[in-house]
Amino acid sequence: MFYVRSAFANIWRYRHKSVLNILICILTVLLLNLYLGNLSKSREQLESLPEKIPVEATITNLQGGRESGIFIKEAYYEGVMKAKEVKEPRFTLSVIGGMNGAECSVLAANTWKAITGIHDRMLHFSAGDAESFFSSDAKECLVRTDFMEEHQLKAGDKITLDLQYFELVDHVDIYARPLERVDLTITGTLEEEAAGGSEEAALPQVVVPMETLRESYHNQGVKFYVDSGRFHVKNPLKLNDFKEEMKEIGFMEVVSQAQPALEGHALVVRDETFIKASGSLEEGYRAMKNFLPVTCIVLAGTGFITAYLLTNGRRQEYATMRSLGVAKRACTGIYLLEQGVSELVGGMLGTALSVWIVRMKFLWSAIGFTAFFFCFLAGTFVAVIMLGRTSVIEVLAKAD
Amino acid sequence: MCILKVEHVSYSYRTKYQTIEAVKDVSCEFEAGNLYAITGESGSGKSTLLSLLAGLDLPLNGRILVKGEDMAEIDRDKYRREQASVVYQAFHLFPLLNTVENIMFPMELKGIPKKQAEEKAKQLIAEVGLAEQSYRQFPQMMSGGEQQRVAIARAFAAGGQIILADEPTGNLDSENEENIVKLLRESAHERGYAVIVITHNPEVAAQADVILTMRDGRLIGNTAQEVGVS
Repeated sequence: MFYVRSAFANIWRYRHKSVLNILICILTVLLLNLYLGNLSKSREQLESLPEKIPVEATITNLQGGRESGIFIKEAYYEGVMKAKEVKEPRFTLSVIGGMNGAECSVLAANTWKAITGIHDRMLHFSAGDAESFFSSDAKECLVRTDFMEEHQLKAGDKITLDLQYFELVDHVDIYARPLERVDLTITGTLEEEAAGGSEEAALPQVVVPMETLRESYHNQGVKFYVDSGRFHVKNPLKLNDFKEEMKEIGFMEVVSQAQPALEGHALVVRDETFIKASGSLEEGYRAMKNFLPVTCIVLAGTGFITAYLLTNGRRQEYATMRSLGVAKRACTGIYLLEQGVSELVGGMLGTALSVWIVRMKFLWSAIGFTAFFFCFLAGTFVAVIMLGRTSVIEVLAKAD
Repeated sequence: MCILKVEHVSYSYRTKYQTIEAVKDVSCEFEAGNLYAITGESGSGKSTLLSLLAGLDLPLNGRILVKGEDMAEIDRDKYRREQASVVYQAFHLFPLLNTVENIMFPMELKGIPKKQAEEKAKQLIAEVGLAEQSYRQFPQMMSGGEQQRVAIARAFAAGGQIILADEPTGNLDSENEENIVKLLRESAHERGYAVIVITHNPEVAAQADVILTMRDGRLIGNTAQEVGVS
């Protein structure tokens, strides 16, 4: 206890040096946190880049010229739906529906986002919502409002459609073939947004969930396919993992010299913008991160120099204490405690200032404080050990 | 009673350019209740011998016995806390501690409660002839003679039986020199300390019960009293 009291008494007695030590620590922590702040901001920018610059992949024919109206086999559809590196898959399949002697356009989709030209506010459900509708395999449908009016239908009514699918023959020829007669319950409407215009004309008259139509194909033993597919890369920072997974599913790269064909075998990934943006960010982040060990060394060095200069003038005091019988370890402990307390106070004040001035996040501040304290203290420890190597006889004799 | 015994002690140390044999085969004894003066020219090894007697280092050859125990076997920090005190020419008081605090230091080091130590310190201040005004004075506010008295009081505060003084009057005027020597004599004869003083000054040496003379690291003789010196 005497040694602890001595250390604290010395902090007060050498208060000018203590204050100087605290100020140096505050400054060091501020600078360190500026560096860490930049590092964390770079990391955040890098992590938020996928949100800002999403990377989209589109299934095309081998030539790369067609993105819709192609024939994408079921294995690809299933592969993408189950893929780990994929998010927001959007698939569509167009068939023809026959009702009351007339034909209507029927579109199957796994999400409303797959349907070109619509927003979720254009969809109105009598029960449930868009997500539950498109993820189900129930015999339900959405109907365009003008189609409803034309056929005097309302929500809850059942419509009977004679479905026809498109069969690809010899890679390029398409034939409509009968699929199945299905009864669908109208659970909602698809409202056109603008009066007239090409967008309205492109909207399907009937929309069904993808799995509902897929069941019809399976029931009839017809090979299932989708006619358009696009999705986002889940983590564009791991593009290689994504491309590896797509390779495993069986997708190929576009071969522009390939023979014209309608099978959807290729995948086009629009990653140039992302790669450009992330490349420079990643480079900067990596450079700053690589500087971390150097920073720790500089911290330790600063701790050493500060402690060395502050304690060097106290060699005589140290020698006198030793000559009075204070053990070497106790002497070292007293000086280390003095320096350590000042550094702790300085570190904490510097951290508080960092949070306030630099608007540093608390977690990063805590990391900064911990790194500062241990590195700085390590340097201090070396300086105090060096003080401990003082030759007592030499110092006391020299003074005499 | 023989309190310190030096048996064929030798010591050398390295400087940047050479090895210096500071003490060569010195043997002597010191008894409680006597004032010893070790004299000799500069570089004769006096201060080195004193440092060895203070346990600040161990001899390379030979041994030093403290009440029969080999110094190499004992805790030398404890020895300096409890048995031996050193008084220096430059006083070596703690500059940021006042008189009372300087004298309290060795007592607090031994675990004596603060209040008790403070009372004892004030008592010792009176015993060495300092006034109450000196209690809160810092070393730089005091004369050389006063500082040396404080250093001697601090030596008493340790409560040991050995006082080692390295040129204690070197920085003092003649009047203060006389007072300090008187204090050291009293501590030997009246308090029963073994007081060993290093001095160049023949007048100071003349006050001692035993004079040991060193030259080139060797003990070449003694005067006044034959006390087992070889």
